[in-house]
Amino acid sequence: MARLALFLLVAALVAVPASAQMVPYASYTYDYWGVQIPAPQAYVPVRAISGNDIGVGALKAPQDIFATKSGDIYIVDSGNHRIVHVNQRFELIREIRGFTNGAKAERFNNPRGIHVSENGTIYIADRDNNRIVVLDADLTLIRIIGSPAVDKPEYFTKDFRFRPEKLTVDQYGSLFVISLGVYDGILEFDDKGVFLGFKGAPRVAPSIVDYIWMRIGTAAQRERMALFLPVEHSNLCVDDRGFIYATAVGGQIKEEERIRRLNAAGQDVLRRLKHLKPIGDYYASPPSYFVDVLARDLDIYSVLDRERGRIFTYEADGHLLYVFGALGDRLGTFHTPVALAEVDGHMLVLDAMKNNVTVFAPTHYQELIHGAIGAYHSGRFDEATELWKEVLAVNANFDMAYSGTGRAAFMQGRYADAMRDFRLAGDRQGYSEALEFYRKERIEQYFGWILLAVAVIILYALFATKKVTEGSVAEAKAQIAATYTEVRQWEEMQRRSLVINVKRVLRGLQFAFHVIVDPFDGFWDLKHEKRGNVPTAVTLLILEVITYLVMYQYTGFPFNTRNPRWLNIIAEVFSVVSPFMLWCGINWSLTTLMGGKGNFRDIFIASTYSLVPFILIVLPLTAASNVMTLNEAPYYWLFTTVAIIWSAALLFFSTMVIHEYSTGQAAAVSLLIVVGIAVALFIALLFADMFLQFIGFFREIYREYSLRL
Amino acid sequence: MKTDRSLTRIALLMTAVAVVFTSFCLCSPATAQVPRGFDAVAENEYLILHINSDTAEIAVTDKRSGDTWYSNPPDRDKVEKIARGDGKLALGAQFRLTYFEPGDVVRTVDSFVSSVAHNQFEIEPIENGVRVRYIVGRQWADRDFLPLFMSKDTFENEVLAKITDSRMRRTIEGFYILLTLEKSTGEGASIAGYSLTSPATTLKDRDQRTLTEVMIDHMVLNTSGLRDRNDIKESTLAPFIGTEFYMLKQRERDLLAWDLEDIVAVMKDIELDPSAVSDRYVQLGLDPRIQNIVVFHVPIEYTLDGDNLVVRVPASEIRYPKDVLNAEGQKVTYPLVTIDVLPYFGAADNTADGYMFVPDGSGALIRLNNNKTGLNAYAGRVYGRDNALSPPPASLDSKLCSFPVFGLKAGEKAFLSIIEAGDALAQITADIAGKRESYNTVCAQFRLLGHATTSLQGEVDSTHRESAQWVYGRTTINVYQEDIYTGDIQIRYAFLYGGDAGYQGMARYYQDYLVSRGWMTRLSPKDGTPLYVELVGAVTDFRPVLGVPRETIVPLTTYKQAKDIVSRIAAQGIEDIRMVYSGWMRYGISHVYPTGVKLEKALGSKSDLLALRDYMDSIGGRFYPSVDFVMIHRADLFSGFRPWRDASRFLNRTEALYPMVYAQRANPANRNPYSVYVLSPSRLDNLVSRYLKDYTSYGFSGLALGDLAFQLHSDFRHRATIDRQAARSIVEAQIAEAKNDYSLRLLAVGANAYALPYVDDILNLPTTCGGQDIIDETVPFAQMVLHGYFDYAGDPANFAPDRDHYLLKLLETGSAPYFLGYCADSSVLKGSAFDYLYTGEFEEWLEDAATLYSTANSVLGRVQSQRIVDHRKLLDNVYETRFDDGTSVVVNYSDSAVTVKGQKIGPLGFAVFEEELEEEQAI
Repeated sequence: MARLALFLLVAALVAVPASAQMVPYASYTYDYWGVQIPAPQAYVPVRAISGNDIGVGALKAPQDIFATKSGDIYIVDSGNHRIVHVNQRFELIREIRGFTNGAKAERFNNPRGIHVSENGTIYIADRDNNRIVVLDADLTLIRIIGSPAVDKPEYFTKDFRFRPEKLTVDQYGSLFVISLGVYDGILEFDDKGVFLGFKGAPRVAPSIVDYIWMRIGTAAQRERMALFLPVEHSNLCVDDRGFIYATAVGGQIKEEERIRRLNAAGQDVLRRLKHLKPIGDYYASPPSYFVDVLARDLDIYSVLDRERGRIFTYEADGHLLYVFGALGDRLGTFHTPVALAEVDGHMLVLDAMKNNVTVFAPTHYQELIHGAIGAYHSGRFDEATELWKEVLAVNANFDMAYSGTGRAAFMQGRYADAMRDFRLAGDRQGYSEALEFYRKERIEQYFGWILLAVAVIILYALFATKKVTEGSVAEAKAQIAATYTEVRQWEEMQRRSLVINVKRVLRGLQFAFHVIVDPFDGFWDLKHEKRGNVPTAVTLLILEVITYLVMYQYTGFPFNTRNPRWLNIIAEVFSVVSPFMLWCGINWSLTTLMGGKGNFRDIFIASTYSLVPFILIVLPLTAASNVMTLNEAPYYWLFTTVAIIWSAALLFFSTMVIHEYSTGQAAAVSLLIVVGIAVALFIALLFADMFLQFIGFFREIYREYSLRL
Repeated sequence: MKTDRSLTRIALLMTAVAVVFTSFCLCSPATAQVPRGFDAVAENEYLILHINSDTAEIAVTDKRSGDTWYSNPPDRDKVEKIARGDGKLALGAQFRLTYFEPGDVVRTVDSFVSSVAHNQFEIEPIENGVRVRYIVGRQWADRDFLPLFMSKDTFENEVLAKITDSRMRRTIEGFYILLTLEKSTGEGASIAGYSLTSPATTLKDRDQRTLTEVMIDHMVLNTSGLRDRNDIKESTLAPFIGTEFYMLKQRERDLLAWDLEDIVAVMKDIELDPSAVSDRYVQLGLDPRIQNIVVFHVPIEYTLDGDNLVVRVPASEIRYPKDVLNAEGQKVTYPLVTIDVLPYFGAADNTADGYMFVPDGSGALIRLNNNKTGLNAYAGRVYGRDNALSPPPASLDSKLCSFPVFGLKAGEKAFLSIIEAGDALAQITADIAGKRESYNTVCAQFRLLGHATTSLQGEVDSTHRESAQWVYGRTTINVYQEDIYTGDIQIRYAFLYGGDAGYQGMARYYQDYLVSRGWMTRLSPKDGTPLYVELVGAVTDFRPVLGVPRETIVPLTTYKQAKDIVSRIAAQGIEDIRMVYSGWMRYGISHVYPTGVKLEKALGSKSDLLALRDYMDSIGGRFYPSVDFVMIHRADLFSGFRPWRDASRFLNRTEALYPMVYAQRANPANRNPYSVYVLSPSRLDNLVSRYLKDYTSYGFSGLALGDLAFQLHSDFRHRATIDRQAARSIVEAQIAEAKNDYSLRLLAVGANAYALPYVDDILNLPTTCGGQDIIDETVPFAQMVLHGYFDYAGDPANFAPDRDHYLLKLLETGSAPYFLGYCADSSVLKGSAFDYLYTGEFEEWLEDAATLYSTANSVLGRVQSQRIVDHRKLLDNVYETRFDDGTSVVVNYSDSAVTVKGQKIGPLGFAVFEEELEEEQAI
């Protein structure tokens, strides 16, 4: 049975659990954690159409495909300098090789992009003729738009050549053009072909390394750097509402700005999730390289990734809906995909090396998703819910569908169900809202019991407080001090007794409460009165580790952004203990040099005591976080911050008291310790790396020896 | 009704007679004319085998039709417009070899350019045919046939005497001169105190001087000890003194090109052995002539067997340069990796009409001259990938060929090739005309020796490159299997004409072939299609237990639930339920090392399982608990599986271990904690026997061979290599054991040909081809071969993208419906390693299953035990499948209605036609 996985794994059987229709790749989506998870096919490849199938001879390096709403398809057959116009059944309507300009017949030279507007006007980016040709539906020339540098030379460098690659036209007839070698943005022309200016130049985000090089590099080096900084647009399209989707490639553009949606003012208004932004494949190297974008109904858009031959489709908020396509030599896979179009629900992908168009037909799954989004958009929430449920029956891995059913459950007041669905969806906001109502409901339900519990607690607190106030703290201290000598002798006698040790630890723990409220006195006593001991310190350290693990695993869902499945217990323990020991070690090594009075034992004990507030605050906070909503997040973060600051302050005080430093000295030493830790880490990394290389070197020699001889 | 049937029977009979008669007339009895240049070497009642003794080409004349089949296109001189030079000559090759030079450079040689052109082959008759022995790789250079010195005896008796053409003899005589060395008398030119004289004639002074210079040059240029003429001492000349010898009168470099050609041609003609020349050189103190070490010895046998041509390459007799000494005295090996056998057999030229058939998936056609010249050639590995050769690629590239057959139809004739030996090493390749050659060719390539690229850091092959390359600067080297495959390679060619010339005829022929060998038997006549239901017992997941993630069992379908599900399906009126139960052993799908049956407690008790078994028996269903033998999911300390001992090895000697990751990943964040080992075939026998012994004690009558029947891989363990062909025998023996010794009813996943004799049911039988760009059409070849002999199903319906399309596929291919599911809510799988079971909740598909089944059963039920006798494409996206009794099913995949035989079929609809009286037209 594992063969189902094994197909995927070993790829031995044709049968991916998918198809009577053959799909030569596995479909997937991403979950909340950015992990690829299997999904049903949203589209299946139906056929590949070559130039011969259309009856116009083989295509040659075609670069663009455009489909009108009415179902006409235009293929820009760049290598053959022509446009092939077919209907949606790929029957030839006409071949456009040129047009008549006055009395002169003119031809295209390497046309690269096309747009056909509703009224049939055809815009062609005639690249190697350095012009845009605008024809009406009967191929009568409307106008030729030449280089904008003629009218507005101030916008361009002297050696500028107008080489239009891609273009799109909005509903007002404004023309947006991407020209090869232009880095200032999209060229905008008005409906008369007059150049208006640049739009939406992508921001360049140089990396820190680049930045440093820019600072310290010579002029020549900087010059060279400048060459690879620019960002180019790769493609663009306009949606029904006049927004321009644009894809950008290369250079140091921010990952999430590879797809942008520009408004009339040229601002990017693309909605992105906080968590997984629409950037194609996550954690992929090299990243997705978008060469085309297609605006679809319901603010859904698809982008074409040339790097891995995949088409990603997102909805308006940035949720990934589905992925299809791959590179390869089979139907449904590409060699060099260049352009994307949609006609009659089918997706068309143009391949510049295979010289064909692959037609993808939507599946039931795709129809369900689009149906659900459509229903939601038009306010038919019940219908949307039903559709989302159907989606889940087909694909139990789909986060967005869980959000959908969760929302429905929420509306219907089934808060527990809503919480479950939102949790499955990884939807923290939704979960939190559901939790708020669920909590309210529960509180109302159990109000009597809660009242009773509160009363009991208050009574107990009063009683307990009374006890404390009866004997003053000083009195208690004296009492403790009195018994202290006696106890110590006793301890010396029975050092090995477990019971005694447990008592010692308990007493040590009790003392921790004193330390954290009165650090100066507390730390002094720890050291000089020998109130602390190593077993207690170790116990505290263990408690700290446990607290950390508990926080990791049991923090309420809205606040926990880690996946409890992925916990690696050893790594986690190490991640607490090692910085702690590093602190102690560096602290000791530095203070010994700087006249510190404390020894390692003192430092260790004091440091463990310093972290007690962390335990005291985080443990109850973690418990509370399970009933807290995101509205109460400020409190959560406040307490967390308090815990950290308190502990940090204690560490500082402990340094001061143990080593008998002044505040200034302590501050300086603390700073040095932090620096020391950084240095130590750096050296450790260096050593680790060298060690690994060393091992690798010998392994390599061994392997070469064993394989070659 | 009854009369109807008998009427049609008569019609059928008449048609058959008519067909036989017409074919008889069309294909006039063979005059058996011998093609020019060919000699008949074997003949039987069907075929005559010819061979051309100059080119080693063979031709087979079919006496029934008079057609002649050639190993190489006979008209290639006229037709070939694309290939030139050696490429064009290569069309005359009977095989191609690829090998690696030291330094991992791959080379391809063919039998024409590297063997036949140098006359390095021998033809010997064997029973019913001929054997041709080739020496590939030119043994001697032309220059080696040009003796500079020869003893008088040799020259006169071995050379001159053998030249029959007197003019040639005079020419050769003219190039040489008989000489002897005598102590210099001080006159004329001399070498180290000796001067040349000719015993036969008196030399003129000028000639004597020239000859002396020539001799000095001959010696200096051919003796490594001499730097220039001053180094020639009396001792150097000692072997020449006192003997009479012939010497080439001119310096080698002064010879005119055509003179050189003439001499070499003559010497070759008289079969002068360059090694004799070399021996003589050694005697004279000159450097020996070095023979080319890169030489391969390959024998091929052609025999006639009934109406078939059988081509056999005994790989045990193939010799390749292994540990030979090169000119520098180092041991080198030229690993011979592949051989293409008869690459141009029956090749169709650039005007031919027809197609090539490849068994990709269910079967596929590549139209001849389909103009897809920009796309890659077809290559499909028989029985899929060898998992021990390299880890699976990151993308899904399954190109599975279950049957080792291929064919080509051109015009009214076709051939079908069946690979009978070496099938597990075969890769079927097909390419169209217009790319490198003007011919469409389909042939089998055999991997004689496995090779892979390994990095010195550890990983094998290319798969991990994506993530690993940027980590290290990679150093990679090739690693090779130690020794070449030593079994046989055998291909059987069958010839089909007229109505049989097509994939339908090929399927029928192959079906008869399998039946005649007793590998398939007809199903007993029955009504009703089975319903295949696969239920998943349990999976595992990592979930936090007290804060620490631990592997926990996630039960999906307990034994009791399985029983309930089956009973609910049965309640829908479905009688023939075949239930596959996977993931029912300990740890579910990724179950324990199967040394015995270990039940999963979370799924219930043993008695629950037995109750399920009894229930299945009681309703007359078949119960197939599934187990994986080949892929080992668990290798913990107490599992009994020791990777170092039991796992197959990659070529780089590491254990064959794969991470279980979802395909098409570009994403290292895929944190799947599972990985699988590939079990060494050498361990299989012991494991399967142990398991079966325990298994049968449970009283199960059926067993689903999870991965045993479709996973086939080598073990490249150092000094204990098991090649894939050997592994195939081992696997076959295991399946046979389960069938014969334990009389288990077996269900196989996929239909690899070697499992067919033993299995009863087949699941996941592909219903489409793999869809390589070059392919034009999918055909249900596999189904045409198997229907009526096996019950089978394709892929699970509930995972299919489109249910309507799925139904049509069922009807077209005669497949039974198949559902895969479980009882639990599918959301429990989210985030686990088994999230690929993203749909399958039983409640969701129960009703669908009932409706789909009833439709499928209403059509296929009554033809379940019949053969598919015909399948054809009526229109684009409209196909017809015809069964034994004349029932035909027409399916329409297109999104518009079509009219077939007067009946309108809606989009994604179908129609069933009863036996008709249009038979004659159909044929």
